[in-house]
Amino acid sequence: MTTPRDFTATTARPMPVIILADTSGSMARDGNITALNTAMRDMIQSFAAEEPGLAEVHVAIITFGGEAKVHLPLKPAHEIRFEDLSASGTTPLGGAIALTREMIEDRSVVSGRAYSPTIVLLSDGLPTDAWEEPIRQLLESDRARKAQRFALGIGADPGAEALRAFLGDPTAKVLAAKDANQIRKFFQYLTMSVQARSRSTTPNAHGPSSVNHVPADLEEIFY
Amino acid sequence: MSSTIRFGASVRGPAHVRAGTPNQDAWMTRRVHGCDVLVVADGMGSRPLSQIGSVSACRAVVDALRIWLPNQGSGSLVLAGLIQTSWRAHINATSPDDAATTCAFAFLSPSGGLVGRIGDGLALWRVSGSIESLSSTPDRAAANETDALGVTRTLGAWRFAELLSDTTAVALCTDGISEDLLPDRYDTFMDWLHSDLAPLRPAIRRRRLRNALENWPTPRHLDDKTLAYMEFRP
Repeated sequence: MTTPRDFTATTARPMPVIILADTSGSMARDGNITALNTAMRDMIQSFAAEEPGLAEVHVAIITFGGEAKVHLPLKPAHEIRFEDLSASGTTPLGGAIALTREMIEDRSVVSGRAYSPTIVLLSDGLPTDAWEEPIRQLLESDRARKAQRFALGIGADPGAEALRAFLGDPTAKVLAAKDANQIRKFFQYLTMSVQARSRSTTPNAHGPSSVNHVPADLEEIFY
Repeated sequence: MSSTIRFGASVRGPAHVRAGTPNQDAWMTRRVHGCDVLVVADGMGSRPLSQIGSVSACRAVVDALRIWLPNQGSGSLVLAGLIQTSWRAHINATSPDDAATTCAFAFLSPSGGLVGRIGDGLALWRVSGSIESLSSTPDRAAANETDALGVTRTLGAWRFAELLSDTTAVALCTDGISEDLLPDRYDTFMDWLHSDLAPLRPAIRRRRLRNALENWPTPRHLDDKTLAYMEFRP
């Protein structure tokens, strides 16, 4: 006798969270990379410990410091053993964006059952490679275009033009973390935002770059 | 002489049960001009009156087929236009956006038929022993919004597939089911409907199907679930 178990998925629908983390040498200053490691570890632990909601949060980390690479492939938060990032080299942001597009469009990585992803770009300096075309291609990708996107500029000169372009929405806000403490604040905000979506009955019903209820101590980068 | 078995069910998903809100899906089956007709509709979750929209979509398809079936030469886009117009009439004074809903239908006679849909969900049919499908946009799951009555005004958003005369079974389901079906097990799903449910007496079948939808095995499922099925029996 056949039952629905014989033809249905046995896992919850995934909600991908993809972090694009600047790990260039300048991130070693002012304790920023240490704060980033702590904040990301806390975020992953929060997702892993979350009561079952509609979706299962999956996390990937793409780093760009010297080279762009996948530091952590997309996987369920409860399966992740986070390894600290280290900071060195240049800021190949464009390469990281290209890797992100490849990841999102690869259906063996982000399945058709997945809810729209959250993509987070954080950087503390000007990109050292060509970023305009990779961002244009990302925003033309149907899956990436509909993703929820966050951009965080770290420090005094975060290369805000690329962060702004990544959001692809003139009404969206690039947030600013002036110090390590604000990096942690941002990740607390991000964690709550993702958890709210994963518990929502309409996880895909979000703005393209939601920045509602931003903590008061996170500033917005204005132009 | 063949006969047709038609059945279906719609259950509230756990999210609506917890919230005490109505089922936003609807389904209907009728016989129109000698054709067996199925309709399923999934009212968009973010819309306040989408249950009105989904019920109206079922009625609109049946009404449209009453006009269109004797005049099939006018083409499938004319049928889509009739459905959209009829839907607007059925929702009456309700704002189309507030009543937004997906809609999928199929009609089948011994000489063939048609499957049509706007928005997400899935249509499957068995023809010459194999399973064919008309799914939604390939990237529906990662999309913010699906096409829907009340949202999409262009008839080009409708997708159609002809059902050949040797089509023996058709299943329509809303995304509460289709998102969790394994594509490589569509045949098993159709076998379940054909072998495990279709032969049962109607009352027992209804109870069995509702029980299966209410105890859906995919973890964390929350959506309303609606399934409609028909098959020719020799």
